[in-house]
Amino acid sequence: MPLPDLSSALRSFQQALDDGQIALSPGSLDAQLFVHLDRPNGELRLTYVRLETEEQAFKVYENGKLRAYRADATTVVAGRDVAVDAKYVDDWASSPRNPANDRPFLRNVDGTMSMDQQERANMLDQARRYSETFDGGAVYHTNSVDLASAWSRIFHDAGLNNIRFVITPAVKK
Amino acid sequence: MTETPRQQIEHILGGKISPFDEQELPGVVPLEGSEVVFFSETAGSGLYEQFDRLTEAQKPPLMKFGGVSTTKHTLTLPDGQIFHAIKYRGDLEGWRRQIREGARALDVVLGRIEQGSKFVLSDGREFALADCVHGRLHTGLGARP
Repeated sequence: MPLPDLSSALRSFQQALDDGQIALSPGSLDAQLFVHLDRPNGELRLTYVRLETEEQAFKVYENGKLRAYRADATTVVAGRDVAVDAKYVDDWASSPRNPANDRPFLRNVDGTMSMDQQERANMLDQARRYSETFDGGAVYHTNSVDLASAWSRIFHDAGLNNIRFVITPAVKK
Repeated sequence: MTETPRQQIEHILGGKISPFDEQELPGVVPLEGSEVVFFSETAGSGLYEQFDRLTEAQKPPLMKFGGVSTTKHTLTLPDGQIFHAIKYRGDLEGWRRQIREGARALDVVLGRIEQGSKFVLSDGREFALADCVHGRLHTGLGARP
């Protein structure tokens, strides 16, 4: 019996995954093998797929210690490694990444950083790590011109001159 | 005409994004401010696990600033031994010593590309790059560092 051609099924699976229509769970024995469970016409169907990641491990020397991180993806531009990340914003006015925000109810009474401040500190720290580790710096995809504008200034003021933004429209699923 | 995100990145960074197949083997062309070293693969261990061990074996750390990253590039010797490329920036001398001491402690062989055409190993062996095979490492979503 000839084997069925699975290529069209895999293409439609990939499309559904890209569109966020299906959720996958990693296998417990082989974490590269993912499974999707659904019930077309009431019948249980398990679809297995092996996925490759574009994630890249890196380490940075910080405060006397070597710390491990991962970049969502990296690419090579003009021979230099560039970290690629995304910062999407639903509502800039209320976003913790908006430097104008320091919502009173999120302020800590003991004087430590509020959640808004912590979020912004984390974003700055992440960019600093990318800048230190990748010779081409980093590119952030964002759907927010406001975020790109505000954070370009913040990065520049922090001396991070190899962090760039690409405005990428967000698509609601 | 609206630029695609890829075209935007190329426009912003002033260069073309290179698909893996078009990327030069790291270390062939020297880059200012960064260095590439290759380490011998340990059978049965994932890249990230080996990367962790190699970079952390030396304590306390000898570098004072900067970072080190994995790459997807491998180099296979004529005898089949595989080497992984990693790249570091910042305190180059400190990173160089950190990785050298880690390799010594773990009995891992290091390799560097010299003059763009030779692959020189820490155990004294030397190969023409033309005799080695440049490959791509495939990492899975579950391969955590």
